[in-house]
Amino acid sequence: MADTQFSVTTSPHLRTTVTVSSAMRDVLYALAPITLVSIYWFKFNAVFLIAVCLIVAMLTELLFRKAMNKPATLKDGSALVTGLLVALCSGGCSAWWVGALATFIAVGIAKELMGGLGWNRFNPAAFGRISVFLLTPFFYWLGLAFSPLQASFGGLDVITSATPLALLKQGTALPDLGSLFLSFPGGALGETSALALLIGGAYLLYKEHIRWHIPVSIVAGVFVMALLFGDHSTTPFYLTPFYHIFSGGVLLGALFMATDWVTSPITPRGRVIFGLAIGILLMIFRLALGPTEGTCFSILIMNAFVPLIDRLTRQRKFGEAPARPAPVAVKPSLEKSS
Amino acid sequence: MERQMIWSIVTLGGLGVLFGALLALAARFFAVESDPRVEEIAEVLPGANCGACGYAGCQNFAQAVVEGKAAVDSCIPGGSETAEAIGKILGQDVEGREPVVAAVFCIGDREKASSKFIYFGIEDCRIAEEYGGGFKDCPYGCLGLGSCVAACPFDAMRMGPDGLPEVDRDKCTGCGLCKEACPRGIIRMIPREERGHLVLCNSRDRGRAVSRACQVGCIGCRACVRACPEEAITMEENLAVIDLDRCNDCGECVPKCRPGCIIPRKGPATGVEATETKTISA
Amino acid sequence: MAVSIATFKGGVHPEYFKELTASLAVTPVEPPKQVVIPMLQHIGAPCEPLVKPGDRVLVGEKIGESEAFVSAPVHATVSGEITAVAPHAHPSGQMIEAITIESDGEDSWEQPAAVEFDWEKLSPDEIRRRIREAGIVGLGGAAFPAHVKLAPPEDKPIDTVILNGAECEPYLTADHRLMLEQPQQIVTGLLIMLKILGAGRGIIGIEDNKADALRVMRQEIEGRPELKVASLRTCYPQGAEKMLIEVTAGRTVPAGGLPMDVGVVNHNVGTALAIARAVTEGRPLVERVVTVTGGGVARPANLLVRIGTRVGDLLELCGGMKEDTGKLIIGGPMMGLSQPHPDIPVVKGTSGITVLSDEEFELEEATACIKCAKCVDSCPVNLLPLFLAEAAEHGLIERAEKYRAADCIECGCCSYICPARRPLTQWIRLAKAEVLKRRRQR
Repeated sequence: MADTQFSVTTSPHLRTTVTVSSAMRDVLYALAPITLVSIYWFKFNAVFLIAVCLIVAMLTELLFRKAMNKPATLKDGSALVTGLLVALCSGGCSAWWVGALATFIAVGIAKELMGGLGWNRFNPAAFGRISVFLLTPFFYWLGLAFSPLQASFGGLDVITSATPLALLKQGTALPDLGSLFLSFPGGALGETSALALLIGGAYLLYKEHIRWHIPVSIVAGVFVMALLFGDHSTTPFYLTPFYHIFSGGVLLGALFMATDWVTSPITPRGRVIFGLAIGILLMIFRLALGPTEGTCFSILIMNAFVPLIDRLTRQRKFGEAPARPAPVAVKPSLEKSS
Repeated sequence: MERQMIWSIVTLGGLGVLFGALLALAARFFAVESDPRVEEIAEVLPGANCGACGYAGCQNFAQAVVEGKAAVDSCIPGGSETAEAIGKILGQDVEGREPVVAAVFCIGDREKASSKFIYFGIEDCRIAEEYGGGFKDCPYGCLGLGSCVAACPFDAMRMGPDGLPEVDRDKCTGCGLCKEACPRGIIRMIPREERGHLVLCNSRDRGRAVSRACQVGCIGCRACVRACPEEAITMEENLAVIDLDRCNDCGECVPKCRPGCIIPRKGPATGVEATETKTISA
Repeated sequence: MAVSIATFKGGVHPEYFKELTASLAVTPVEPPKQVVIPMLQHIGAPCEPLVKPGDRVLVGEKIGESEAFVSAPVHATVSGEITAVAPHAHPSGQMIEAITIESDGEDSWEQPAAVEFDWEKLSPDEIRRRIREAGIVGLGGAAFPAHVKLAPPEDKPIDTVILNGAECEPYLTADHRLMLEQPQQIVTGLLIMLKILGAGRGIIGIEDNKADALRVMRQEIEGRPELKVASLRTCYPQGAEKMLIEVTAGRTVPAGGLPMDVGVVNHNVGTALAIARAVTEGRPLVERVVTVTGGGVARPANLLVRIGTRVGDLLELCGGMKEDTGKLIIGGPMMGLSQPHPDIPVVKGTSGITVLSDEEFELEEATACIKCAKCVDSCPVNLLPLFLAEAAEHGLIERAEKYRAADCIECGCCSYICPARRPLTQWIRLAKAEVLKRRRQR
């Protein structure tokens, strides 16, 4: 038997077929419906923005990996997911260089500088998005420098980029709930269709890449907050929560960003706490502060609490429940018969 | 817009100055009395916090030395210079230790030493050793999973392309942590001075078992023992050992060694490619 | 196939590959020319050899015995001459003292000493003695001496005996075939156990992917109200002791406790069969059913094999290993031990020999943990494998203990499910061993 060499490893000797890259691929599949809807509405602007973000994401990862002397991990596809999410969080008429910068910050700073996939504390896409949002004042100058480079593909005049939430705030005419659910071009690319997002989320749930706890508890948090504190002047009382859930980044955040493995709690109880807190924070942002970016802000804030949540929600051990009193032996029928 | 920016700068800057002042005051009023010699000693230590002395870090070691719990010369990476410097601070006379360097006593790389099976799992020699007694046919040879490399706090070791660790003698401080990490005791500490020949094999097996497992293992044929004019070579458990104090680098033993595991620490290559790497010059 | 709801929290669903051997009847194998019988084939104290080279033995003759309570004697499995008493490679990976017997080809058996074979007339102590004398251990794989489990302390009354017919390990079908072919003996074994323990309830737990076994066993227990066959959802590790008790008896074994703490004794169906034969025929444990399976073996089979047969010989019998064989596992692929070579004997706990071809397993480099928590969701005993493994990796044994490394049942679900391919089970197993070692020292 000298010619055959066996592999010796510890059990288990079988592995599931799911790997990090296959899971990331599934996330990309799940994002396909909403990507297509956004392309339908924003035409070439969306295609261009998404392409820029994807390419920048990959280049950034290559660059940082090279600079830090680590093997490239493009294969795992996490850069693509981050790039696509950044694009979907951006407005339909965003300048391409804003998307590129957000992607660069997301992949380069929020992920690679933190040690790469698995080590980042904050959701890269949310981090990138919020960074450019906070940097907005500087874009005034940056915009001047970049304006000759601004790519314009025209034909978008018909579409308003005001989000339904802004409309809600202004008290102007609202799209009806049905079209909001199916598809409504307002706000970011990834906010154009609640239905498409739900289809993608269902796929991830089916594939067991995400669990129901986080999305459901975020939506529950939003629902309750909207019911209690929402502005019911322009919409019927019972419909307000649905406007809040189906508009803006709630579903995108709840299904795709808050559920990011690396930056979400690991226990079911922790996930529920995490989700509820995001939902509540999100509504505080929406109702008390500005109409935009509430989802990303609240996800980032809760990301910071994940280690704490993990520590506080360590699962109860198997068999920790008080043992039942030892049962009294039943006289066996066998002994009687013998 | 501009007013907002100015205000935020003023607020944040003001906060910074305020906290800085508070911290400075706290440092003054709540300072802990400590022996100034501890700080002085910590100054002269290498500061790598390698732990080779048995303490958690250089600061702890300095504390222990001042309290008399640790010997003045226990900082191996610092060598005699550090020991003398500490002695000066404490007012003691210190005799410096002979500086040492780590050497890997195995040249049975993936090509030359055969393996029993393929191990796959945690990359750690100690753990691999638990599976079927290690995956190499030779039970004494280097497994090449790099536990020593991981243990080195000075970046003085790296895993060579042939699956054997290499020691960078310029960076090696002789702390001996790699020696501790090796489950097979392949790494030994030898005098830093590049002098003498080494038998780079660790196998205590008998000749036949050795030659079956490895092309370059010491088969205990005693040819080198007979060849040595200085009687510097002795056999210990089927393994030739060269007494570095007696070895005069005449090189008589080298051509006599059939597997070719006697390597001069300095000098021209002797048919074994590995001689040119830093592994051998150790 | 009826889908049963009975299951536990967590677990994984690996592909089962049982069809390779599920329909193949158990074939008896000719007694081999040579057997190697290790002195340690059970959990507990190793046996002392009772024979020396040159002695002649009959089949069933006791050749190793230990004074210790937690131990089980070993018997000659062929008749012939002892040729060596020396350490030999063992499936556990260690070298363990073993007796080599060269067969004389006669296969002559030692006459059983017992005269009364009607178990209903025997006292519990006599039955227990016979079980011990027959060297019966848990045949599911753990190999815990059977008589020890059947002698619980006075203050732990047992009211339920659970037979494990779940066979949740992928590939293996030995228990499945036994249930189909010898249901009567299995039930007899169960009734004997109920009698010894004075227990009033017997449950046979079977995963619902074995519909035929469920049917056969249900037929067999008809008219015996104290017995029940429970259909369990197919999910690994459904057959793990604590999971099985939780699902079938509805009782949770306390952490760090034993089944007897909740009034339960748990045995494998194969053990029940061996007990029945030992008590009603006076037959010691000299053979067992072994599933030889996997894509690396030419003709998979369920074989009735003498203990001590070389694994290599069995593989030859099954048409040899294919060219692309990459892994030889004693046991199933989830908890079995992979072997460096086939020169090891079949021991009492060898329920299967799984030979995996290169396509059937992968060796993939581990990448950074992405905290997906799939390991947390799949852990049947509610551990946090990712944190435990991290603690073990950094040598933080105290932290590993705080994260309850000692409760790990080493089922392997975490490593199985990990998309980053981290060797979680390996790390946790190391931490567990270290924690238990420290506890003993305290």
